[in-house]
Amino acid sequence: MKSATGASKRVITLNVNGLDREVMVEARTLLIDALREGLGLTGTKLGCGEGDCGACTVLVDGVPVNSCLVLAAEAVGSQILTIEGVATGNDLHPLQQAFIDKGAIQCGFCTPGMVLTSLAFLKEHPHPAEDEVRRAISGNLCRCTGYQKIVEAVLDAAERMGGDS
Amino acid sequence: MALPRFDLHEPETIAEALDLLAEGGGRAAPLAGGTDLLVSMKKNYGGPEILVSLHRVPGLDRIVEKDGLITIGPLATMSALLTDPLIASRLPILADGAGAVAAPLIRNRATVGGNLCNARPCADTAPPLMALDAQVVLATSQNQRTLRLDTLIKGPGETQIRESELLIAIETPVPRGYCAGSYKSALRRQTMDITLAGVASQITLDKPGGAVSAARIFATSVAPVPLRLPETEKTVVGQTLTTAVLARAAECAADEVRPIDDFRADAWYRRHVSGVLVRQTLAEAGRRAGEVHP
Amino acid sequence: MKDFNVLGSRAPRVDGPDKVTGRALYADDLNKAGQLYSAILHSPHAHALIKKIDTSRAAALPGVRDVITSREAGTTPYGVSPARYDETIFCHDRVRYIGDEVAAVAADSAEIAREAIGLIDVEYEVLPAVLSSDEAMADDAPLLHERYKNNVCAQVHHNFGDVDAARQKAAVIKTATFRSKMQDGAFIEPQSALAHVDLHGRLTLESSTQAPHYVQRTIAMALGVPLHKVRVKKPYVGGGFGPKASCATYELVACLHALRTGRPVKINLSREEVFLHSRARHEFKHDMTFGVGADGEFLFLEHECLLDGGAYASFGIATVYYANSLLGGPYRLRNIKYDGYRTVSNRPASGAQRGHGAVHARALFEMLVDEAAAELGVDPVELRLKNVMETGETTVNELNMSSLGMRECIEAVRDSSDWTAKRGTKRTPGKGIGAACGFFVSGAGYPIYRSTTYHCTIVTKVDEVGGGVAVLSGAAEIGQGCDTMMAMITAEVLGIDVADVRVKSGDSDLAVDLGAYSSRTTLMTGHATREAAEDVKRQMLEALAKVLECDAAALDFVDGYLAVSDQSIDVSALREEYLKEHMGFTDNPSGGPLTFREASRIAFLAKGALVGRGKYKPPVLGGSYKGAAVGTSPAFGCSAQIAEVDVDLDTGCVKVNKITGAHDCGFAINRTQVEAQMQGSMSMGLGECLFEEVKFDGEGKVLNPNLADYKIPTSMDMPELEAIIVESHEPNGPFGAKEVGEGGIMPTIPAILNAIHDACGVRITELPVTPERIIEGLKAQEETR
Repeated sequence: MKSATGASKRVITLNVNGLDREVMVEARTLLIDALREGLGLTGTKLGCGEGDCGACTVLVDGVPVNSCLVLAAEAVGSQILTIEGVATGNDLHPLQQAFIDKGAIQCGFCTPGMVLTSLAFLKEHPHPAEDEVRRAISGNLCRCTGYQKIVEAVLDAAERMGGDS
Repeated sequence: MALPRFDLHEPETIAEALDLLAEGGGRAAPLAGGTDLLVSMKKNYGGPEILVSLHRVPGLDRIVEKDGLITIGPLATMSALLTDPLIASRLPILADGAGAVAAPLIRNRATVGGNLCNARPCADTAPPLMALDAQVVLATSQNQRTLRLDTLIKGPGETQIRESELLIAIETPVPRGYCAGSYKSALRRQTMDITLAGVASQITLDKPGGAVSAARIFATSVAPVPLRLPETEKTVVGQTLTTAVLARAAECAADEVRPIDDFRADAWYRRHVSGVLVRQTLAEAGRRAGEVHP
Repeated sequence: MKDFNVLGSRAPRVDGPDKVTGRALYADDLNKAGQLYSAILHSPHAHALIKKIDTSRAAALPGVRDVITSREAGTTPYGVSPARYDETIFCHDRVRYIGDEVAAVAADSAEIAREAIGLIDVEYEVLPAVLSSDEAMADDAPLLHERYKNNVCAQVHHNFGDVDAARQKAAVIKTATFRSKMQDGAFIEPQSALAHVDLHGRLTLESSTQAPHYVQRTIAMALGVPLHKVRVKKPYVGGGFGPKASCATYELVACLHALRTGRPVKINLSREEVFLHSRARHEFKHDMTFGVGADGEFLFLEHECLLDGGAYASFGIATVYYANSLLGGPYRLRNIKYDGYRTVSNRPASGAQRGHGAVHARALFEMLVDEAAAELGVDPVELRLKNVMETGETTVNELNMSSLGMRECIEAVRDSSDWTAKRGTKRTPGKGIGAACGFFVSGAGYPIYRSTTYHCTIVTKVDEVGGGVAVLSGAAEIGQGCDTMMAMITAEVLGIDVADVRVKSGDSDLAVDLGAYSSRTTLMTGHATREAAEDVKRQMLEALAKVLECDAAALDFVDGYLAVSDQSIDVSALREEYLKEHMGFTDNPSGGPLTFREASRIAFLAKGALVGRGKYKPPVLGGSYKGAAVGTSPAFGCSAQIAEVDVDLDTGCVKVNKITGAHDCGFAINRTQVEAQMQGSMSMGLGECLFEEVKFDGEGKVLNPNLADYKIPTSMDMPELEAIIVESHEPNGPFGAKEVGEGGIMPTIPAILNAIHDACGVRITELPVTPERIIEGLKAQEETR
């Protein structure tokens, strides 16, 4: 059993984007802060801190969650995927390329969360209908795009990926 | 937003979890999905000094059917309830409720145990489970007891759960006969919204398209706790669900609920839409009941 | 029409790859070693005198490095408009809203800073508060600012034409009152900043702003630092929409801490603080009387507007003008009387938000157009077409429509949405369709401070090594796509790939740019960008012509090459020189025309630094009447939309099923980005119509300072958004381009409101359109039957 007392800091190991990384946390350290501050992975964004906007979305064992509401300690032993882990080096994932090609990016702040939620969704639903896409991303708010081109990008990516995620 | 300091325990068995809760007494609380607890701890910059996370206790998220009873672990997430085939086939009213909670990201973490124990007046899984006549199993390190769900919740944020006690299972009887239900909620946006009024209607028909032999109707967000609507139930028991019967039920429900004004909605609207939701859920329940293969 | 290589295409955004991989750095992603963290103490009272501030306990907390109040910050007034500098960094004698800033702490960690804030003891004497325009203007209302009599910080009185005479000719007169609430920008990125001072005393602020230039000026002024010692640069910004267009307390606080401690200082606003800072949409009450002739001619408008903008003036003096000046078009309307009053109240201050002041005025006007059409028994779209202005006409308030594709926009949405058929066929109760129009400036005609400054400059530098180009700009890319616009224009002029153009922008050290507001960037900064590219192109061609001993007119850059129109000109010596210089390189050109890479290198060898300059300021615009400047612009974009809705007659919920929009942007430099801006406008308009309001309790506290209870549309709320581009080729715009960022929000609210009326007969006169208002409207209809 793992325990951590309030004021103490300890080193935990998080598997992030395929690599085991060590980071110093308190019991109360949130996953988003362990990623952004502990590991310097600033691609995950803080939009509200209360689970209302989805900007902080990461995948934990393939499931998209608000990292502002997950304790870092809870994520030990899981595989975490952040936006930094989606491309391979400078080679974009087809989903990322679709976002670019379809004009689904404006200010870009919701983009990391949108991409991760969509990535997880397409893995489970490789041939989605439009309303399914809208439902899947309904926890990721965007103020810039009106979602139209984001939905088009996800549908386009589904075609490009041809059923293999 | 930052959390205040707390001690975190991650027990790996239920016994350990219960011991920790016993040790911590009033200073300790269980941590499930965190989508409610962590948010309120951030807002208040305060909360339990000891959190006992349940994530590493195996088996707390299982959904199984045995001997006419469906047992749901407290850590079953809203997403799990939405996709689980047992829930979909036997308890679609509960899938409705789970699907009404927030949005996908929250549903991936929010648990049914948390939804019940936080006892918010707007909780979406409580009315469906009450309509299903669910009971909950509460355990301490010393003993265990079973309570009907509709007696568990006492008031907003208040339950019968004692210090160091943990909800370890939710049990509902497998619906028998032409029995089905529906839960619908009124929101402002299409999703990711706090329910302004919600209605769960679980009915049994004597035959497909036949008369209602039993009805359990619960409404949420229209009283301090999920409210049973016995007068509304009486309007449909013994009747077939014609337009006129549904209209009468709606009218009765609008009267029977006890909403207040708050900054989210006025009471009169909650009353009005409760009536609409009673009509809609009864109609849907009737349709589903007709398709059941008992 | 001329064919372009790059312009008019769907070129991918230049910042797309960074944003989609998480490499784009926003303000909170920036960190400097040794940085302190700052937190702000906010007033808990809506209106109170400050009797005493004791910071000693805070200062004594271990880890606290600086505590500041107005004593340290000074009381130099600032604000947005010099005529209304009514803010100080911290309140010194009184607080004016719950959230007003009283003090700040810089500490070793954010947590210590927050704890220290809680240790600052402030003694207040609570005063009565006013929480609306009506309360603020009451005779016995407490005054928030001595200088604003009756708590009115700006008022406008305009009288164009002869309304009384026009009234006599009107066959149809429609009167209505329309109300909206304070709304929020709700950009997904909360404000954040990092300030640092170098060892030469030069202050740099990196902040989530849409107006580095105005922030630079305000910091210099309020903190007493020479302007050239202040640098403001914006990193990637996660949306602005107006509220980020002026210097904010958090920016001044970070800078002051940095100056005092010599340490870098980081500061973030929580989402709640974003709501408290606001500087977002005012609360409006519009009273309009609109008269139309028997033949459908729009005759007159009488308009009174009462807008409340919270505790400070901010942009409010412009807002109260925009609320009417943008009703001068897009229809001919020769008689307009307007009285506008902008009040202050004990609530968070409002500023400029997408569409700045004109959005709800347009909504009411477009509803009255529909009402008039109904009474005349004519199709509301046809009534609009009958009255639209054409290119070249001038409004009664002297706004010249140098290009105006309003007719084309209306026809496009009418046809594409199948308007006529949908209105004609047997109607399903609850299903409705509605139309509306609007227009907006392409950049304000004047800067916010009184100056003859150029609104923007551009420096375009060709790489000395040849092949690449850097565009240096002060412009603020906040998601609208201006970096891409600058890269595309430069690439087009120089005949090269967009990939070979690097845009460095948003930095006051590079060039001047008034920032991203009033939809100015494409027209103004685009103009300067073109000029700079043409300048450096001319310099290069002249240098090459000299080397080649030919006429510069025989040379051009096309498709990445140096095009030579006279076959007798021999460029082989230039290639030889390039190859000689690049011995050992493995990617040297072997045949064919001289590449841009070679040619630009040779031009450098011949001439030295290759730097092009561009600049823009509008010609003197506006009439002679008071306030004529506001609403002036070198060009006006216009927009038409048709919304289709389903009104649930049981629950009162409204679902928008489709919005068909057409926008005249003059010329679409990037078609995808123009569509994207149109769709974003529709989304903000839909949200403001159906869901958005900042709610207050009786004490002036914001009840919903979060994104759960302040509801912007989710993907399930937004319908299919069709975006049709109309191009009227604006003579004052670069390549004919003008705005799209804000004109597109104008028709959305009225299109939806008109559709709701079509669906169920309910005329909504108060936003947001809640299910309650629909049900009440339906009940009222039943009662009158």
